[in-house]
Amino acid sequence: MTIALTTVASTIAACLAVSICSLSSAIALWLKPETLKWLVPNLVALAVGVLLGDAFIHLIPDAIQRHGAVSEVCLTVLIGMFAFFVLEKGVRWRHDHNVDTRPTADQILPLAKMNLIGDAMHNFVDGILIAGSFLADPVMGLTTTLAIIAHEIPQELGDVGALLRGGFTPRQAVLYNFYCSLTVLPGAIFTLLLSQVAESSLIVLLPIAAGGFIYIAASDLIPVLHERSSLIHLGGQSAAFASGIGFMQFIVFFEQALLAA
Amino acid sequence: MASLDTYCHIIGIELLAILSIILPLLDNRSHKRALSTVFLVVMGFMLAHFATHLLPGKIAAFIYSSHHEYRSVKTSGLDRT
Repeated sequence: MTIALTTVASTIAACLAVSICSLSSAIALWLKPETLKWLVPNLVALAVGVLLGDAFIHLIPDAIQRHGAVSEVCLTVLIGMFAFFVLEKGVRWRHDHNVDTRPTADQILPLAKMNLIGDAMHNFVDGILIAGSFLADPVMGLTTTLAIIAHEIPQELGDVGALLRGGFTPRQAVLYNFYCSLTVLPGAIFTLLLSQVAESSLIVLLPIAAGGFIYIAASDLIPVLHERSSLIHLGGQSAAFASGIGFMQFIVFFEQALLAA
Repeated sequence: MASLDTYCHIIGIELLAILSIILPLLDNRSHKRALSTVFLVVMGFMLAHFATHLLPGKIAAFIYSSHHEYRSVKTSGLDRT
């Protein structure tokens, strides 16, 4: 199969647009430390909502639609969660040997590392989706890119909150988050080179990414939210959590409207 | 579907935007120097393309569309650029 050069160029342009969105988190660099200190727990709560919303509203239904068998998709989600559990154990064994949820000086918590790994994998899947849709039809490619950009912005903001909580400085958090977003390009190139293999690999990659998100949100981020239990924090974090889920639901409606247009 | 030229322009602009945000965030001097070189190369390519291809093309399109007695030496038909 020969691929038109315009398809390759449009896919790369779309991938770079998605990567630019991850730099929207650079807003964190211009905020005062006091504002950031107040904002980070709420951003972590937003990340929990967005990650769980993305997994349950977006990735798992998409995988079921492609695969058809619900039980197999659910099993792959569990395998994804198990893989991330083993990965985190490995990260802790290699670097940390502790289960502390507060970073000390020069120490990065596993939750930040796991978040980076999960985000990189998610962006790789996004790259496959972008290239796959551009191969099918340029208009579909554009709508898919718009939908991915729409869910990327709140997610990147939440991710930076999680990275800041994990011990990264604001500058490092923005940079590492951007480096992870660049995995969208290898995902797209993989699809352009091996479109048949890439398309079928989505059946496995989508639920594994969903499993990773559920694991990170439930085991790494939610315990962080329980550190503060005043009424103000309960209200703020609940609102941010619900907003994350709301964003993801809105994006599903947005996608449906785009595809219907 | 847009032309290859348009996509190349978009990619160039996106690269410049990414590099202009990333460069101030880097601490490592060698990385900063390497990425600054990439920034200058992309900028140079875009400016060279603008000066040698885009601008003459626009001027030619304007002249041939406003003076119908002129014709391009490249093509055989009248009023073609």
